[in-house]
Amino acid sequence: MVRSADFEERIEPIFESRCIDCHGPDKQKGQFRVDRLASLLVGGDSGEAAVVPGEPEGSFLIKAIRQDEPGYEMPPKGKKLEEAEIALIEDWIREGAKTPERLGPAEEKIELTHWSFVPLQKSERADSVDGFVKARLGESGLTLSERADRRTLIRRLFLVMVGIPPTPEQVDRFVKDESDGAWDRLIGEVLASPHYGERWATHWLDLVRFGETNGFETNRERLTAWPFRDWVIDSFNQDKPYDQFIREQIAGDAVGSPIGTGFLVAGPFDTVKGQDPKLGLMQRMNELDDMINTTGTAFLGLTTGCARCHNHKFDPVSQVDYYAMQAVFAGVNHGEAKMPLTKTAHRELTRIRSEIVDLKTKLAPFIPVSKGAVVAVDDSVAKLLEEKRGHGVKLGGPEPNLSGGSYTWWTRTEGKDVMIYQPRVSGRYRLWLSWGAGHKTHSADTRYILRTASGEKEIASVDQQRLADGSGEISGKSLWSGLYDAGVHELKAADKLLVRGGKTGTAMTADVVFFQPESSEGMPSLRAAVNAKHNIESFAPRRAKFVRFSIAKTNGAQPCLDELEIFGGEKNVALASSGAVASSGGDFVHPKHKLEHINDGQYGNSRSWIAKETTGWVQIEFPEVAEIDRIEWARDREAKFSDRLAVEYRIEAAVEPGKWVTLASSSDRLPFDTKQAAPETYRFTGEKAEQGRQWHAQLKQLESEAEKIDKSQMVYAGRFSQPGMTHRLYRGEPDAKREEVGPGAIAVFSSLGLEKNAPEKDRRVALADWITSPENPLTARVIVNRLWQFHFGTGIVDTPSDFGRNGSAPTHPELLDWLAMELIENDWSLKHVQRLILQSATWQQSNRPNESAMQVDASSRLLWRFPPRRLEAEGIRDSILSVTGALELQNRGGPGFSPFEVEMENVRHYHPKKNFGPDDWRRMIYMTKIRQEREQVFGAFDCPDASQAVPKRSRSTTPLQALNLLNSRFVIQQAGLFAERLESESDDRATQIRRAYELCFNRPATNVEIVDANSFIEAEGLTQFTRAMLNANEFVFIP
Amino acid sequence: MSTRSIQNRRDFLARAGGGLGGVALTSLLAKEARSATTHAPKAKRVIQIFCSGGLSHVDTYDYKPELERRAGKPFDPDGKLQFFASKPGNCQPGFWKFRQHGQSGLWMSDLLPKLAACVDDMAFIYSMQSKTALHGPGNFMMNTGQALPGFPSMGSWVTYGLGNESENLPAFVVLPDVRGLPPGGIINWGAGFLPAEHQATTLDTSNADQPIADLFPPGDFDAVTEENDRAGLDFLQELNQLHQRKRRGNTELEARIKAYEMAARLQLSAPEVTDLRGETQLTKNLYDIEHPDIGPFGRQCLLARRLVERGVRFVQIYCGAENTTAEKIRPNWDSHEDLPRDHGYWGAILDTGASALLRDLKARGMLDDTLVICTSEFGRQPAAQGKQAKGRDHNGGAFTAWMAGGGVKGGVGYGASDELGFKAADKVVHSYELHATALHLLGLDHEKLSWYHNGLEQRLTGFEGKGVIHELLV
Repeated sequence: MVRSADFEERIEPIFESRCIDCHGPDKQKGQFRVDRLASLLVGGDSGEAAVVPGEPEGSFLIKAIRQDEPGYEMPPKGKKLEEAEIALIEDWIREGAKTPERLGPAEEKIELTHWSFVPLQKSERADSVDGFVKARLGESGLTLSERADRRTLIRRLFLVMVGIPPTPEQVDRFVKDESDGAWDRLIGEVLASPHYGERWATHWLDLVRFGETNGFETNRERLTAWPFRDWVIDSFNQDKPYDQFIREQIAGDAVGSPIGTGFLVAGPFDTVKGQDPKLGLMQRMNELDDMINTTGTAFLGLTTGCARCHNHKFDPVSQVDYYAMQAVFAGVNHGEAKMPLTKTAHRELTRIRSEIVDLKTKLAPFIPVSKGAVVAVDDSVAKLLEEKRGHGVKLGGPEPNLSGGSYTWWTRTEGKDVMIYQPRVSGRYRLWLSWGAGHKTHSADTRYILRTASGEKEIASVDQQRLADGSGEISGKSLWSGLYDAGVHELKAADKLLVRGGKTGTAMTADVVFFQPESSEGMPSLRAAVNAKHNIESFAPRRAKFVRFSIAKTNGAQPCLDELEIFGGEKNVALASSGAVASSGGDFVHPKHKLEHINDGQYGNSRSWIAKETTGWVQIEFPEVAEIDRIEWARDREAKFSDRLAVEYRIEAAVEPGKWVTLASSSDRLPFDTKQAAPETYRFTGEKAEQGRQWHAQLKQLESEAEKIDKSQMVYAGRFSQPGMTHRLYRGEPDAKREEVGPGAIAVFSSLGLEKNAPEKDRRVALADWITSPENPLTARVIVNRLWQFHFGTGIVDTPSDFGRNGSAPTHPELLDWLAMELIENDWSLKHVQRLILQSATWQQSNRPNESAMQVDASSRLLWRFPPRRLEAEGIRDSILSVTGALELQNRGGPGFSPFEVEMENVRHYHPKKNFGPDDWRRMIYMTKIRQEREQVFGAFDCPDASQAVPKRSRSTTPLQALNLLNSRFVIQQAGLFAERLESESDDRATQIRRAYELCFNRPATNVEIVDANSFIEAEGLTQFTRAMLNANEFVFIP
Repeated sequence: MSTRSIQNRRDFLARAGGGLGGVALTSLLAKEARSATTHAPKAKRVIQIFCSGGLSHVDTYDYKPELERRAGKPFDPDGKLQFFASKPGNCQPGFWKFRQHGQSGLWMSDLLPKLAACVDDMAFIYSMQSKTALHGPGNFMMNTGQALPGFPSMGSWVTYGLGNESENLPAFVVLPDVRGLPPGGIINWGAGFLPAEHQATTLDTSNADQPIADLFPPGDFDAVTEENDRAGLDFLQELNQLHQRKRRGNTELEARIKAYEMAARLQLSAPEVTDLRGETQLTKNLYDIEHPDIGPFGRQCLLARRLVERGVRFVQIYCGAENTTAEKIRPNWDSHEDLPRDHGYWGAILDTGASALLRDLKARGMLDDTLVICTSEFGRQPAAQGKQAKGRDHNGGAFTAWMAGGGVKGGVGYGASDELGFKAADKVVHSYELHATALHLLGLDHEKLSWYHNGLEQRLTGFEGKGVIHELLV
């Protein structure tokens, strides 16, 4: 059969009969049409190229008409294309997919005609807020309302700009100020107030989904997130130019303001990482999606999220654009970063650190040298030769009790060995024996036999009814014997100690045995228990090529080590970077936990090793034999985790494979106890003991000071690293990788001009540059609209984070552009724009309803009045505290206060606090933002929970709000404090009532109100009155 | 034409009702004049039981003979699979014996004997699948259709679509497990971007004095007591009336005055509904409300019936809390270590409460127009977990949900998981279709029930679902 793939003769007829109704001039379903070459090449919503000339198998069109692609079976209705027709189309593609000229060029420039995508337009119609507003009102036959009275104005100004009402004294002063410029001066005052930033930061933090816990299932705290909140407050107060404000949030680390990038990681973060790699990849995609989305909506008013799976249906954001932005953020990870220290702090830290070094040198002689040299072998780990009968537990006897909690017992048979101790030590050692005592059934002549290469030797025969020193009651209560000195013996690694049955008794026992180097003095003592943060094993210098750390037991789950350091002098010879090789008996598989982390020189849980099973081992092989004298290890040197700690372990060394000698073990440590986790201790003996203790006290003090300074450097502002290559993902699925995508922005607006492998920081800087360019048509429009929204309740565009085609059109487009130009021309000063608004008659007009205007414009969008609205949660809470006198207004910045008691489970549980004091009476912006929770009283007032970015809060009215504000412990306590305040200021009831009205409503009470209130107070008490005032509509609405 | 067809509830009601521009929004607090139904509803109300932690389908509803045949053989001989917290162990058949029940002959295990007796009233979806195998995201997904936090829950969507039928009680009530909140906490019943009036009211079934937080003053303040409370409220309303007189037409002021009235009515209606003394001993026995372990869930179920009787639209009951390390028996269905122990404990609880609810509703003639849904965030693996091989790991790939009453066919099964119960295989169902079907039964069109947010007309059922499952409808 001869097949011609000529487009006009053979292909176009198929398209016209089967495709063009949905994908042609009339409809472009899925943003795809078959009558334009550019569309055929680029493809539709799927993000896949429909036609790849020369490659039918790579062409999405073929997959669609072959109906191989779930969700894209074409045509969706009617019968499938004939095989011959499909073959023709394949041939046409294979031969280069040629089309006649009328199908247009291969690339078509998308014309940006949507109002927000075109450059700012200068209007000749007006040159002020009022000019534009009046012009629009005029078109609808409306006018501005009269100016509100002065009391209303100052109250409105304070509630909107500062978030708390003015004091009666401030009101009085303004009402009486008849000089010119009184209003302007008042505007200047509130804009200069430090409380202005506290109010306006709330709006920004909503928008960037700022929270101080991670969210999701465990919802753990982010203790160092608050500096970003303070940074936002300061930025508003300083009137930081808005372009700089943006730049610092995207790439603050590049411009000397590293706290700003707290923005990137302010959102939720799922810390529950399963072992399924696909799940982990999906979580990572979600993290990046959160950053891309928040950047797009907050700064550009563009929703980009849908382009994760397919081209944006409304706006010119392609799937490739989305992954280009993903590439911009691909090196951003959640986590804390170390902030540069201030100069003073740096100087202080250097001083403290040099003193610490000094003291440590002085204290060195007090580190017990014999540490680790004693080897203890407990009956619980020694090798049993005979089936045991059981254990003696709850042992009495001499203190400290070193039995490990139990002894083992057997039926005695004369001459039969029941247990072998093999300490694997060599040299001259004193042997300290111990056993279980207290029962008359025990043998009085249990024998201890040393088996060496030269034969067996009995070193002791002991009475196991009694204690080591021959004393003790035989009362039937199990006892630990204490230590019995069996003398000094020459030992080799292969030598063993046996416990052998004697002639008497029905039972025999065994417990811990200590092997103490002859050189060390006194009874063997125990070292500090292990702790999660840091452990040191010191021993006499020894040559080794292999060191193995074996874990027999943890305090829960599989063991974790963040780093195994092996020192010879001051050099860590275990580092992979110096050629050491790690191996293990099995690894737990997780991105944070890898074998290579055991000797990568980095501390902390995220760079740690976890064994596959609950017991396990990890080994370091040095490139050549090295002399070593110390091993340091920890579960988590960053002290965030204390589970998975090895509590029973043995560290062995060998020069040749398999010939292990024990270096140290848990056997001579105090038993692990979760309560005591003291780090390695000094032991103060001898003449200089007192001096040593003093030095030690100083050291501790200095160390805590240094830690405090050090910790103050940590801020939850993200961690940055050079990322690998980003790929477009078909349907957004991690396992459907398509072509590589380099960092970029939205192609129809701009290319960032970056290489595919551009340095991480450059990517963010380039994105910030593009967003803050004065030519960017969106950035300035979006922010002035937000400012407008928080002044009037609704923006000029009422979809403040969506300026795309699916958003609303502006009610006053020329005004919006005029404000945007004002912003850019005045060095991006937000306060400048706010001043323009506050000075307008539009903002100062009355809010009273007007029947005829309501007919035309019930929602007041055209601004024939100041639109009335309720205060937000923060405004209500802060106002209550303000009028009752409880507000801790001067307690600004720093770590927040929590409205919850936290139950420190793995999954955090947050229980509402029941008692409140001055610490809880700071402004609500300083309330620790627990994600996914609502504060028990004010959360009900549409307060976002930081799961999602919120550009505009809903404003609902519910009975639960009423109950919270009436009956909560918090409000009733405040009502009581308010009553006390009134009583303390005056004994006269009428004066108290007048004062309450001045404080709550910023106006004098009428005579009727005073009379009514007076009789109510007589009947029900002053607190009932103050509670009603705090609940009143007049109190919670912006006038 | 504007692509934004529905901007807010006002528009929505106007369109749905064919141009009812004048629907008073403030009536949200009181009885709705009109709701947004697009067709005659079969169900007037919903009771949803949520088994948090991951209920094992292969030990309860989804009978897998092949799993019995392969018992003890490696589940994943090639060692390629990696579950949430473990590598798969051997094939582990259901820990309880499966039998056929009722006229329909559907299979259920001996873990749920009482519920098995109701099988002819129940419709099972054997092919449920989640997008995640994590508890928090899984709970979010089944409640809001999204695995991320912060989206509106089904109950919020329903009250947004239907408004409130009751003068005295909220439209959407949640009864958490007495052991604590489910994974992810309160936002499982949050309103997300819908106005806060659509979020659930939590009823604490273990606190008879304050079943709703701040329902009454705390009781240890001399100045504000339950006795002088009414006077205080009256005085407040006088202040508000006086204030409003010069501001007529400001509907928000009016709404707030009404909210305080509704609050006062709640103070009467909430204690009335939570007071079980009026129930017969027979009913109390049916729900086994005095039993130390079973009783709390029985009380939740009984309370759910009392709430819907009084006009509450949507009641959600949690059977299981979030994980804690303190408990010996897991405080939810998350049986990693010892499924016979933990499912054994929780099975008896679910079995008694849920079967009592179905029987009680049926006896009162309420099952016909009350939709009961029972689901979990995901299922569990057909392979054993742990050294003792007594546990099962998370399985987002397959689980079972069931519905009953409210226009749902009884005694039917829909879809299927694969022969081992590892992945949903036939007619895969996500939260989207389950939610679409529930909305349909309530007279709501899931494609029209939408809210503009973040550039999109957002829906409970998203954009990738296949819509209503008509096979389950009467």
